[in-house]
Amino acid sequence: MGDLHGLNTLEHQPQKIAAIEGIWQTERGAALRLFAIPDEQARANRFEIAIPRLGSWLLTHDADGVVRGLDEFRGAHPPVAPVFFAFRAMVGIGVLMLASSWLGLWLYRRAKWRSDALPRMMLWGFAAMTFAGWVATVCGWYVTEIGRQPFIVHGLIRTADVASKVPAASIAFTLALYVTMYLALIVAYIAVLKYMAEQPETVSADEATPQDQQAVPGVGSPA
Amino acid sequence: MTTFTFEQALPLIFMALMGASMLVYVVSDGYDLGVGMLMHRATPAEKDVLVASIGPFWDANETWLVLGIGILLIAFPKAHSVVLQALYLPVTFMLIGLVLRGVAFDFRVKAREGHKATWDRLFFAGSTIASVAQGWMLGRYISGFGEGWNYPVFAAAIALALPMAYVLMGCCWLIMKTEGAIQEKAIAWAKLAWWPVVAGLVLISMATPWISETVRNRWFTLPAIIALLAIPITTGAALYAVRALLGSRGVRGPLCWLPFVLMIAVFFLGFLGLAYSIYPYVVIDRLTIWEAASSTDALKFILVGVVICVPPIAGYTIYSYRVFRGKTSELTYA
Repeated sequence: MGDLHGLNTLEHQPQKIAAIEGIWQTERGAALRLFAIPDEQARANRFEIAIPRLGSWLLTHDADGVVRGLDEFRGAHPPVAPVFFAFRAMVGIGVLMLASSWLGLWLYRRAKWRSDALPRMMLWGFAAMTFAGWVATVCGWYVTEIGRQPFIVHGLIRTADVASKVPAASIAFTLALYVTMYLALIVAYIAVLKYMAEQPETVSADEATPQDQQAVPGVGSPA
Repeated sequence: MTTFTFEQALPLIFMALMGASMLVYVVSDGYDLGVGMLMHRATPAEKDVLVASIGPFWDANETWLVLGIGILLIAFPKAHSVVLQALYLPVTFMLIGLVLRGVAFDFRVKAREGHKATWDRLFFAGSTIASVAQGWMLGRYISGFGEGWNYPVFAAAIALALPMAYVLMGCCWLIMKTEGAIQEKAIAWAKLAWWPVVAGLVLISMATPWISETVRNRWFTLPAIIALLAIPITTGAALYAVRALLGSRGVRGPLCWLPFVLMIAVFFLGFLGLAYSIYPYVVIDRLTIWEAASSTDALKFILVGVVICVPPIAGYTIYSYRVFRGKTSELTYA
């Protein structure tokens, strides 16, 4: 799936791929950059760690394939660093999630399927991974939304041309409002989640009692 | 009236659909927002019954708002752009109110007991914020987003009146869905809410022609006004009947559903009056339905989607009201 999606993006939004891969100049046999710090001024990467030719092989299924670089899209490509890092964060977290699920399975098996015999370190690690899927999803959104810039409809309409005329102050105010509310809600969410996790008996008892009365004909109960 | 070809009628079809969604939204989310605004008057045990009475319905009710705004966006993109830019701030407040209320609805029973009162207050606050924001938007919309001292005053009046109407609607819902002591309380609350609703409706009916010349001209022309008088007269009769029922014995028994149905009629008549005032505009004095509509090809394409989507939505709505008909039982969360 990921491969098909990448190839589709390469065909229709080559500058997004170039930003994801941190490829500034068009390359034959492009390397796969594992890490780098893209420098928008110098139009080059610093501190690059790369595997030669792997990028071309992944994208074109030919180790000597040509991958078009950002320089071909000067003035019409997204800011490189956010796309580059968000993609790596997404993939990194995805790998971490896979690794921890397999590690968990292996350790669980080794503990003879007794949850109290599992190493505490692993449990802490899993707890730390609670929001990993969520972070990875958000990073994926950053890649796709920032990666499309400066267009809102790729190649047709620029974002700046269709932005609403709502005053910047209103936008800033509502953004602050949304961020405040969501911060408060996530604190509440984690608190409720923690409470429910720590007191599973209390919560399920509260919910279980009235269930028995549900079968009264013609009487509703909320979902 | 001239006859329309199918192409010319398409924008009208979408306008009718959008209007119907908005009406269903206002009526259905109206009563559950109203119940939310009654929370602070209820005892803790009654609060659970209030929430339980709207439990199976409230989030499905909001579907109609999404459908209405969705149709505005795809069928009347120019109007969408004008309306949602003009209403940017109140829309934000409405969304924040709806989010707070949705979260509070679930968390009030999931969070620890000591926090329940706070979530109940947030449920009340969210319902109130969303209702006031909707009233303000309606006021701004009717007045065509006019500038000047009188327009904000007009919008502010509706921002108070619409929540009052929602509260009355919520009371009538509770009269229908509850029994005994809570029902008595709902009747008392309805009596309290009735006067402000009537006063608000009268004031707004008088103020709307004053604020908009277009509306004035549409209503106060001679043969038309005689036929149109049916709308305010029927509305008045329905409201009077609601008040008379509140003092009757029947409303505590077999007629418990009647005030609610009469209130739906009041909203429907108000909607009819509004539609007549605004037609053929979608943004009054600025954009007609045809000027704001998408291209005919786009509308035909969307119509196919609408024909596929809307019947199931209507179907599950009717189904859920059938399944959960009758008096509310105890509060449970699946």
